[in-house]
Amino acid sequence: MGSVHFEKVEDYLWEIPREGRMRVPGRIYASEKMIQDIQSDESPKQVMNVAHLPGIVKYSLAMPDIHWGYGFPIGGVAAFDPEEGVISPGGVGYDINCGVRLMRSNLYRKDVEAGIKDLIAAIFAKVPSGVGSKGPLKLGANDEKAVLLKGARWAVEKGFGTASDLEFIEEHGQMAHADPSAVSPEAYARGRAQLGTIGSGNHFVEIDVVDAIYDEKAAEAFGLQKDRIVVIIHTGSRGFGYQICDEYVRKMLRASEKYGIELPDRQLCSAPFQSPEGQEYFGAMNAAVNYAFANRQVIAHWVREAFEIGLKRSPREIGLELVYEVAHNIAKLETHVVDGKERELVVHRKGATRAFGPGHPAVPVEYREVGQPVLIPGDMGRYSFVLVGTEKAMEETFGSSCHGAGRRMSRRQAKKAARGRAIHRELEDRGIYSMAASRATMVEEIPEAYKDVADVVEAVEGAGIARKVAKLLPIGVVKG
Amino acid sequence: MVHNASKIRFFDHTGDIGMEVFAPSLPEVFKTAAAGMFSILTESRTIHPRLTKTISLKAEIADELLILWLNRLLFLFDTEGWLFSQFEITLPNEKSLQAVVRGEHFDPERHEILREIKAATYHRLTLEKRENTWYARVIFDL
Repeated sequence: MGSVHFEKVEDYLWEIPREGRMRVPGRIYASEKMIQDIQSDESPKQVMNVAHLPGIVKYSLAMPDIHWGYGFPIGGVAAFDPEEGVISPGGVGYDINCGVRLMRSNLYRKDVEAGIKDLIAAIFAKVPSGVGSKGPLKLGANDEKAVLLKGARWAVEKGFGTASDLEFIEEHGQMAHADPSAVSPEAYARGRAQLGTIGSGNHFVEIDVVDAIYDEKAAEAFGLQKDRIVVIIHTGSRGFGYQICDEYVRKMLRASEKYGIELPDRQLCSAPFQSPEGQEYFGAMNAAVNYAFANRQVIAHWVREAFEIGLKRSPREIGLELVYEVAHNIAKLETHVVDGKERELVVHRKGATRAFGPGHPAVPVEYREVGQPVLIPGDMGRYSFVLVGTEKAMEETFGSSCHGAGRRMSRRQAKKAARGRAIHRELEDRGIYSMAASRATMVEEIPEAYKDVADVVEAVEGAGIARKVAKLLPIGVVKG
Repeated sequence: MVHNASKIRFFDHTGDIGMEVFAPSLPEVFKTAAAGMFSILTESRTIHPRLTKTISLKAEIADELLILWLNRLLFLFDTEGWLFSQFEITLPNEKSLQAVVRGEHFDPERHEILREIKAATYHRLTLEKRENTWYARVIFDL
């Protein structure tokens, strides 16, 4: 859509001026190279659409991994005034609290290389993956509610991991304001069998080796050294979150009519944050946020067990302490400085990561001097990055940064590109051993189906809204 | 089973999939859309219509009924493993639906699940009569 007018604000930052009923301008972080691609896409129009919503503060923002979503663009960030503004299920998405966890082992490349096949097989056996996968957990009615209220803390109390893990999860793995009574019986039914499952698509468990360090001080704080083995887990709230989003989009369609909110796209339906509808969604969404925190905590425990089985080593030798865990589909009440004044805001991040800078009280004490770890997984064949939040992100993006590579090819294009190729063998030639529940997933997730995550990271670093700390290379991956 | 006169066209939406349905009647739209959705999920020909289930739904706006219908089928797959291949649809009015659907439960020995569908979305949702043909457009979140 070449029709969207962009103005360059500075290197890596572009503005879409206000027009029509936009309440604020749009702003997209991207390099010169990327902005060409972005302009040919529908996503700038979606940035403009979000700017129509009542109570939006400063800008409708998008990160460099922006692409066409439904309603909000993927990579979108928008903050709303809690008194005059709205909350929108479309600004969070179906996979509520989809997120990324990074764990560092005590092992180095040489300790794992020979046993990588056994390790991947052990993870594949231990962690249910694939569509419709069911976990071995049996939850009683009390547990179901406790998961929604306590999140990762519930998992720790049940023996999955340790209390020290909680220090290194965004919000300590437990959001306040979760309301289990705002959750329908259908959502409970959908969530019941899926706790402790990865799912499919771009979700995975990956073994990586630290390949490069860019910021010695931050890397040291995060416990990352060259050649150290780390694990990335990427998944969310599974069918539980999808059901909540679907039901509340329907409720918000009625609420938007009731409160006279004009919608440029129905998927942007919203309610005033303080309205009964807004608060009900906030309560249900936070229950799903906690479900996802518990999900990743349970999976992490099984990954630790799989390391013991696959590598025949003791827990002490293995380590696997939590570096950090971030959410990238979420709406949260946060305090930010706007035009010199502290304000509480409802910050929506849809395919964007919180990236709080040094000194922020929400950053774990161990990292406070350097800033919050920001985890950016790439595609399964290239590399991922660990970044750190900056003061500039606090000033410009409500403490937010990018979340991943972003797709470049449709599934059909990927399938065409992969025709006649043995993807798992190609990965093996690159030193990456893979197992997947579905062949179709491997084909649709081929590395070239994604943008080069290094371009995305270059743009956020260039814009100053996060800084590179380390590059991770995959050596083993379990896909759904 | 897609009715002879009904047509379906899939289109790309970055990581997601869009679907356009052209059908001679409104019940045929619902039937064809459901068959199309299950073809995204698995190889439809592997679903045997051995078991029957009835579904009743009510929506407040006609096109929302289509999303409600598709997401109910996804819910039944997710919770009980239902895969469906035959759909008999009755629409007492444009906001309510009664369906008799036939299929079977997911069997990993015989069914390969190709990809997960999170939901049918309201993004650019269209359901309208164009002269003699009904047209629907749905974008799925994958």
